[in-house]
Amino acid sequence: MIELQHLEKKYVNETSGEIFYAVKDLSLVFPDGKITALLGPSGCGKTTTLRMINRLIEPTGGQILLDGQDIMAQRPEDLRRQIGYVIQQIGLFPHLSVVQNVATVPDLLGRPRAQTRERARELLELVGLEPGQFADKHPHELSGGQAQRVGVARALAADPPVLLMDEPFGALDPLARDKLQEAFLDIQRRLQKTIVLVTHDIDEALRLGDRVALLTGGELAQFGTPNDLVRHPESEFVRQFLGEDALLRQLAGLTAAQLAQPGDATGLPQISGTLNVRSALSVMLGQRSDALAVLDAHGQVQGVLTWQALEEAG
Amino acid sequence: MTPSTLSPEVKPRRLAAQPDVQLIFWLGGMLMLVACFLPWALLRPNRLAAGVYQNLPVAWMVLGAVLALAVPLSARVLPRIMPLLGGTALALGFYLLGARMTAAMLDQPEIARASASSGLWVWLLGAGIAVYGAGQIGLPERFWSWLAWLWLPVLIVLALTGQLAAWSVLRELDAQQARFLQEVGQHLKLVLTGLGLAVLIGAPLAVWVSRRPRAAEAVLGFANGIQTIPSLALLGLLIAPLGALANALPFLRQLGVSGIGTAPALTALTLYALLPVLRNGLVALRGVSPGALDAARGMGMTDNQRFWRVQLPLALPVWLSGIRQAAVLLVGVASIAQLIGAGGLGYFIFSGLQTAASDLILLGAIPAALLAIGVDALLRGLEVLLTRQWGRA
Repeated sequence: MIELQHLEKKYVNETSGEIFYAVKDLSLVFPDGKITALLGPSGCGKTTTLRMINRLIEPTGGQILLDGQDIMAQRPEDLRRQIGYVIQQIGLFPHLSVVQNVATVPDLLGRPRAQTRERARELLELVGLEPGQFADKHPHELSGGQAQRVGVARALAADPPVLLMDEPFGALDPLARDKLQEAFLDIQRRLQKTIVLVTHDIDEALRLGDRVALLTGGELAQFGTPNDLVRHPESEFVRQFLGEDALLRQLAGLTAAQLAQPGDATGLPQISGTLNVRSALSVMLGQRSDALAVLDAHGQVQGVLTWQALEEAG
Repeated sequence: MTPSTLSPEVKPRRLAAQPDVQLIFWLGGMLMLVACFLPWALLRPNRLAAGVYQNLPVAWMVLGAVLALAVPLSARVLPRIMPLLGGTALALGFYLLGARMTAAMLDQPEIARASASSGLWVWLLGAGIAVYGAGQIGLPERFWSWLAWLWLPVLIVLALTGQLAAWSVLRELDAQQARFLQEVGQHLKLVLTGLGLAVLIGAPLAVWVSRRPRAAEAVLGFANGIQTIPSLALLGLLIAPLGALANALPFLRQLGVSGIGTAPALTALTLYALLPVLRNGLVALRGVSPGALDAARGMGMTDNQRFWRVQLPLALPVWLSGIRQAAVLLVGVASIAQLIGAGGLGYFIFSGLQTAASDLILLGAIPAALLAIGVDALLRGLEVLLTRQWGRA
């Protein structure tokens, strides 16, 4: 569990003496085994907050507890080796092979080489890269999506309980981003890490976050589940930031398979179960049908998605 | 001519899209053509007297002209043979150097000198340009590209079998072989020591200032300032302070430090090499991807680990190119070290200048040029090796 208590980061302009708060009196609890999205416009302090958790930036006030321990009690390097770190620029080391990249932190921790290499190959498999094919490649031979998969594998290599991710899917094209988000959720379902995810992308926050912390001007605007934020915005800012189409955004985070119910599917327009519900809604409107047949991966009907089910979800 | 009438491996479109490459072959070919009708040899009764120019025999003139014309003409239709053509032309130039000098020296006394004249030099220039152009085509097949190097084994065989021995420059070499080896050694010693000292001083300095922008400006300004001093002047300027230093500190004098000789020459060479080593070091260290550095820090590398494991290996190929520039620069500057009595290949150049013996000048200048090319190729190879291994995209 990560706990921020009255966290503060202020910068003082040397010439004018002006004080600027990047983060101001921020108290938050990131629950164990969940993804918490730090969401907000640029300059809201979300990245600063993230970087204070692994002490890439030192706070000027308040404290951060990791499993009840003040993070300032440890050497920053030791702290960082227990926390996975994934960034937007991916930051793979271009002169090292994929396997060497993944093994970076275990190597720093002095674990036996054979063991770390074995583990690196397992992790490549976990993130959906065939080890035989990718282990000895160099980063410049990878696509953006593949490189960030390696980035995630590298962050997981020492099996840290906590993962910090700074816009991890931000540099990818929409298609690759979608696939990687999917894969990422799948991995998280298995590993149950405590993840802090910085993003400015509302769809991403609503789709990936179990909790969403919306920041503005270095302060917390609202903290809650995606549903809380969409249904019960606590301020005008929250409502405006999420936008009038917040409900649609939330639907975009659900798949048709999740809302499908048993029923008679004969004669209904058919959609794939992996289609998101917002798209399914669009199909309904286009086909002038209040129900759709939902197919599974083998093309078999697995249920019916009805207008009523949509109303309940939205 | 339509593209469909040509076989695909000829790659006509690729060449057609590069009119500048065609231009290179025209330039090379025309130079070669002109060279055929210029005098190739100059025969003098001794090394200082005036002499008689000799043209190529008519048969060689015709053959050379045909080859010269073949260069630009076949570049359009058969680009794949261009490396072979260029390599052959260059090899032919070297063969003719030996053959024409030998012919000129026939029945001449030992003190007569046959030197290469404008025709030969222009031909070598034209053929060299053709070889260069062949490298610019970007042929897909390795084998055909390698044929451009045909001249090298030919030159080696010619030299080893004594075919070139009649050439005046080699006559001079023959007369001063021991001295030649000594000065080549001294030249290498000056360059390598100067470069080594520059790296020893410049590399840590570059690392140190790479994190201090203000210090970096000052240090670069200093190194830039030195670079603007003409090399001759720098050597002269060093005579007084180093002489004074040696006088004040006797133990330095015992180490061989004095106002003239090796000490000021090495000082000047080191100062000259400092700028490229520093500047490229800074550029290289600062150019390392910020993402990789941030990731390294975020994963728990200490500052030292980050430097040795990430920043330095990634900066090294770029840095090496600066060291290569410095090395080539030093080979040139070391040639004037003789002016303050430091020896090196400048010895032959300056004695040649003083006695108006052009053969002697060439005996210093040609090896110096070859040395620069060799050093450049060696370090470039190292760069390519590192870059390939570390796969910088």
